Amino acid sequence: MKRLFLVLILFLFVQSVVACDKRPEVKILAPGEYMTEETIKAFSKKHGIKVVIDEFASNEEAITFIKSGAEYDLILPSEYALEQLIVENPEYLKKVDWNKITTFNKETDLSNGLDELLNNLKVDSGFDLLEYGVPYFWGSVGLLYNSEVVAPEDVQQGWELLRMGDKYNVAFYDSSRDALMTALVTLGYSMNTNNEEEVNAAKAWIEVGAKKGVGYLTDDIFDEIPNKNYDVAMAYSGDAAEIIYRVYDEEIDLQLDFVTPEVGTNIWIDFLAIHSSANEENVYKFLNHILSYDGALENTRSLFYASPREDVRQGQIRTASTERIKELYTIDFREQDEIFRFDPVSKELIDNAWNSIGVRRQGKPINLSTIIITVVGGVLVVGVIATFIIVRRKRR
Amino acid sequence: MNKNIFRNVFLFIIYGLLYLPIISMIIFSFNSNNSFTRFGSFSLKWYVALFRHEKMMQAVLVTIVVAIISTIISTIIGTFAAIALSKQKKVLRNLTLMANNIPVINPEIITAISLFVLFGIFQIPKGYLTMLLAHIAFSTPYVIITVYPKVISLDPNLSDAASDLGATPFQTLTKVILPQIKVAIGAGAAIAFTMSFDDFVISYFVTIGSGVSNISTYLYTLKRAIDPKVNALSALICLVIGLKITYDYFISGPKKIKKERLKG
Amino acid sequence: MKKVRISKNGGNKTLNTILVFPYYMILFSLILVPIFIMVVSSFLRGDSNNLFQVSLTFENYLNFFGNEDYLYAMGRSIWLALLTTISTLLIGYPLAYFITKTKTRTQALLILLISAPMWINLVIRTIALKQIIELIIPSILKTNTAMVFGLTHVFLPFMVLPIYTILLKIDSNLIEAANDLGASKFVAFLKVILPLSLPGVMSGILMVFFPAATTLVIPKYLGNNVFLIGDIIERVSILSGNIGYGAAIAIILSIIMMAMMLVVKRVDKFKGEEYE
Repeated sequence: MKRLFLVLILFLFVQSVVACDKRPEVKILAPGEYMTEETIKAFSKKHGIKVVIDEFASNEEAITFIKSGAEYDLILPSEYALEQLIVENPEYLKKVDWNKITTFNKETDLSNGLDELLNNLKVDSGFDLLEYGVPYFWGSVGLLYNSEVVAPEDVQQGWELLRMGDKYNVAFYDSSRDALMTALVTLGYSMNTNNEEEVNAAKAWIEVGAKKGVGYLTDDIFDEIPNKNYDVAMAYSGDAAEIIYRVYDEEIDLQLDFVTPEVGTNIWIDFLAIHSSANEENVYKFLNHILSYDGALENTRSLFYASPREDVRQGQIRTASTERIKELYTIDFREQDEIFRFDPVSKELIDNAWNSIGVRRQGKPINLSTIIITVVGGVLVVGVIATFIIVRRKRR
Repeated sequence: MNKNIFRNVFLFIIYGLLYLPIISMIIFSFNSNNSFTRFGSFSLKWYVALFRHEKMMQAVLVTIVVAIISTIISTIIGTFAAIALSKQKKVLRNLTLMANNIPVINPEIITAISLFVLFGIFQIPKGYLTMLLAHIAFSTPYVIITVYPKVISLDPNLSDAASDLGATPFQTLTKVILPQIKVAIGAGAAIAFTMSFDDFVISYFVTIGSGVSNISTYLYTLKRAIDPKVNALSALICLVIGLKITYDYFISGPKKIKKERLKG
Repeated sequence: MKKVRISKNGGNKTLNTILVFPYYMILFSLILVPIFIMVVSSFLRGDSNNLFQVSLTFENYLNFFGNEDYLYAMGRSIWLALLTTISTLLIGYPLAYFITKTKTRTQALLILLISAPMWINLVIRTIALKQIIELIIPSILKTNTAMVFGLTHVFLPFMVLPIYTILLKIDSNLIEAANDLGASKFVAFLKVILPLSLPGVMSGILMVFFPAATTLVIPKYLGNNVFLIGDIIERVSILSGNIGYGAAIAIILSIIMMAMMLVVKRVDKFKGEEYE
């Protein structure tokens, strides 16, 4: 009987843990650590609505979750993922009713550059992402490097720097799109190509570099760079800004710089989109919050990506701690830069190429000195222990 | 004499290498800076940070709660099943035992994928429920493996004597059989708990996309390679395990060798 | 195994059914049915649009065998698992043997010490390994060497325990008899102890090889986040949403392992018979 009682208590305990909060909630499918606690708390406090974030590690993963029927109020995909959903599964989305957005005017409040970007996209392809999404953060992709170690002439080489694994410690971003992008762009192709030969050429380009020793980073970049484990790494502009800030703030002895190669790079925009199963009332409350000046500002407290609101972005520029960080809030969309588009053929080619590289990853070729040191070290250790034990026995 | 020296050196080195990472982790959990190659000064700040970190503490809570509940349920179900199996006809019994071995022999990833597919097809939302179900699913077979051998080694005369003396089957069960297999049940529960507490692969696949994580899956998704809070957490877990080992060694002694053999 | 029953009259049937019912429910719904569904879905074509579509085909299996990269991944996984198994054997067998030669009290301690790490989360142990490697020989990180080292470290207890268990059971009289018959210590080991310990060795090999081949965690921390077969299954099922393909790869893996297990059992039987 006592045992049954115990089980019952535990069961109730679990129930209480599970069904803790009965407040209304807004469920968002978003990348990890991509929304500040400050802005979330501000929203919850004002409206009494809880914000729950389900995290995904990559856009592909997010799309799989959505397609498997999971329900959310909002999702936070990148532009190409949003495009994929619009094209393939519009039933999971609801269009944005901009009349209900009162804190943000999409004609006038968009950040400089972002408005052009979205407009060009609409004009070129008839595709208006603003129909389905509310712009979130945006930025570019570039090379974050230790300017004391990497020679300027090598920096000039742009993405080629990633193939200098024998000279420096370099790292790709561990994502098929971003990595293949560097190769395609350097070879003069479009990063959205669906031409198999071009992708194969890009793959070969990367493989040459991989042989010399290359690392692959995602979120661990935030620790690996300040710890000087890498001299050069592919990074998103917002991540680079955060890292540079951290190095500055913690007074780490490291000179970092960021460059978007001349041959071109990827400009990205993330969107908040409304899921078909959303509670519209709560959702528009949240959207109005995150797009408002205060909400957007709070969202930049610990995140360093460029805000979609021009006034907030100007604030980011004003309060930037260093020159470098300031520059990272201005995203320059040059002739040679591109936005990712959704193309199933391209996606498959790129994913396959990345898989092919991925299964063959090796570490840096081990050099002779390491082997010698290891063996000598091992023998020494064994010898010392053996001597110790023998001496102890003899003493008995 | 020579042989003994060689033996001792060998044992010393291997055990040393085995524990080196753990010891290093514990040492660096007291590090004042967040590097793993340079030791600054002694500090408890990571332990403090650990307890303040809501998400990590939540993961610990989930791990413990799921482990306790799944252990209780799988031990009960497994023990009853083991007892019932011993009374079944040979064919059914052997078939069941064979089926029971499937999740034990299967690499975890296969169990994980099969459950992932199952929950997907029946549109069961991933989260606490799926994790609990998954843990029960893979723990119960281990309980049966542990308890069943003990059950069939019992003396049937005792049960017969009980029913001759007027005991109902239920009473025979609770007052005669269960007490005799107490030790095996305990061992089974211990195994179930460990398997649940440590689990990664299966928990990962059945909670993907939900906000729910246990210690292992949370650490895994924390791709931030270097987080000394992890060291603090590990040190605490090692402490608990260390206490358990000390208890095992000094209180129970050689009896534990048998327990480990069953676990192997 | 003796056919011992709890009670001569077979017990109360109703009670029995009640006892066993929950288990059968679990066995059926959480173990057998999922595997069945997985097998079925491996014959379904995976489509980006709808995760579960109906049209039977061998496509997934053929695609796998035609995919050079995935075959490479499987080969590499098996190779690493093989290296791991060999190194755990080379270290684990002597270790188990030496442990049996120590005093009983020490044995208890040593066995506890060897099994204790198994109770610590795999992820935590892997992170610890990464830290220590970074500290001592950082240039090994991200290579096959680091992965094998890590795998050996993690799976050593799984090899030691079964071998230790079976070594204990060997009747010392047999060894004495061998010695009396003139065999040197070494020969006695080779011809008596080793063959009798084989079941334990086989058990250890099985417990090390399979998990090592499908490991998810070690490549991510110690390897260069290389895609091994466990990773591929994860990617294909979750990242690409092609569950059928993932299931097919998992099944191919199972079949390979079952085949290996049969071979191992054959060897075991063979050796056993020789010395009966």
